[in-house]
Amino acid sequence: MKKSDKLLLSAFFVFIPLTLFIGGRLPGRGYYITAAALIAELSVPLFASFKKGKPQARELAVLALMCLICIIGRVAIPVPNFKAAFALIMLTGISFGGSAGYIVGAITAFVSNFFYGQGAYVPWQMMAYGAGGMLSGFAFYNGKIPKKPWILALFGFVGVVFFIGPLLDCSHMFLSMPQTGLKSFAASFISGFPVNVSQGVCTAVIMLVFGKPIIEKLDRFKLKYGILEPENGI
Amino acid sequence: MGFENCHPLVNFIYFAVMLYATVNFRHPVFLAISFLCAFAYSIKRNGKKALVFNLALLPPIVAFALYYSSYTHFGVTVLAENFIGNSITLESLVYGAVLAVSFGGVIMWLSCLYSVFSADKIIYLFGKISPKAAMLLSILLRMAPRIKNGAERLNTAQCSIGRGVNCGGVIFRLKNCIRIFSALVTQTLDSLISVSESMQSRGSTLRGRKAFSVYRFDNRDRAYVICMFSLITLTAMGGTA
Repeated sequence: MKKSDKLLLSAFFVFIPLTLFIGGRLPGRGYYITAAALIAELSVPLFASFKKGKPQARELAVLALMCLICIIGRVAIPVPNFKAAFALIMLTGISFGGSAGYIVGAITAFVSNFFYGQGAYVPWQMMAYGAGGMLSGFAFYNGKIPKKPWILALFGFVGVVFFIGPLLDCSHMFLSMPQTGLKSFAASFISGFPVNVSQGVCTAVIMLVFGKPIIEKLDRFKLKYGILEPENGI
Repeated sequence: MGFENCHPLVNFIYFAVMLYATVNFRHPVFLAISFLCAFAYSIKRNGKKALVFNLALLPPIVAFALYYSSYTHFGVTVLAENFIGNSITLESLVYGAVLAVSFGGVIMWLSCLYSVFSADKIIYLFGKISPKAAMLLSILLRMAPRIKNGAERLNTAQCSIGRGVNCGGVIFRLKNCIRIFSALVTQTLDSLISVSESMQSRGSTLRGRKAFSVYRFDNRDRAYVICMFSLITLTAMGGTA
């Protein structure tokens, strides 16, 4: 396991929950501070994954374009709870590795919420969206799982319904329920289940149709320019 | 010598405060002032095109007010009853209209902002963070026209072999759109990387580098800033009182 991955895991399990916990106590528009702190924390493992420890301009440019595409994938589809953003974030994670997927997901959630309205849930959404990218980055870590369309679709569906969805439900439990515990988590999970399933179906469809071409495209960039390689070789 | 020739900082303060006020103020008089000013200023900036765009915004505003009042039912002044027995109230209608007007105002202010803020102003304001940020900003700002141009070229090339965006039936068109989009993404990423490489090798990211600018903070800008801040303070005091 590489150093950047260790940093990423420690960020996911220790620092981000801590930030969310402290940030939840900030009054008023404190969630902007929490969101900025999240992005700052996430950029540490990302920068550690670069070759010289510093981002080159082209790597930042590619990540910025991926963020833009993910935001379009969320905003341009007018159907509620049926967005392509999850699939695109996961594909970024699959090709460029977990830390890149995490930061793309977090920035996508933050920026696209300017279209849907910012609120106290924004840091939670950033955490959950990014976690989707991280999960896919780790799952397809060294190419042992073949990147076939139907495997991607299955992975997308399961990942959204049983990983990203519950994380988003967590935010609902912590923000708007009177008490936190297993029972209230079950309640928010069950009430969020149909939404998760519809998002998961959308993710599976996008993965099935566009998964392979997009991965081929991104892999070509890794090969051509030697950027953002999660592994030694591809 | 209009407002757009002022120092970029003055423009930035004005638009930031204006957008904040339009989004957050719910008072109808404030909203009306903001809406009418945005209407007038966008027409002054963009002429006939802006007039058509602004008039086209009006039907969606009315439609949103109707839509909002059809699914929220707070208030006491009942205007009518819909077919499942929920009452459509005056209060929800007005609140929907207020929301829609503030949203339309934001869109019009953004069109003004887009025409006033040229790319060099943005780089002047935000490029001081670091040379790398300035370079990234200039690349990203150039990207929108670049993507538009590339899409047109791709479409022309595909049209000439009968696979353009407006050839064939619905499904065929959709397929063409997806193919052009895919080619566009590849092309954009490629050009993005080569542009950033070449700018970097010409020294754009060296330490201590400044972006070129022609702006000077003169007495007129000082007067603007003093006036604006006194008015902002007045409004903010009204908000707290």
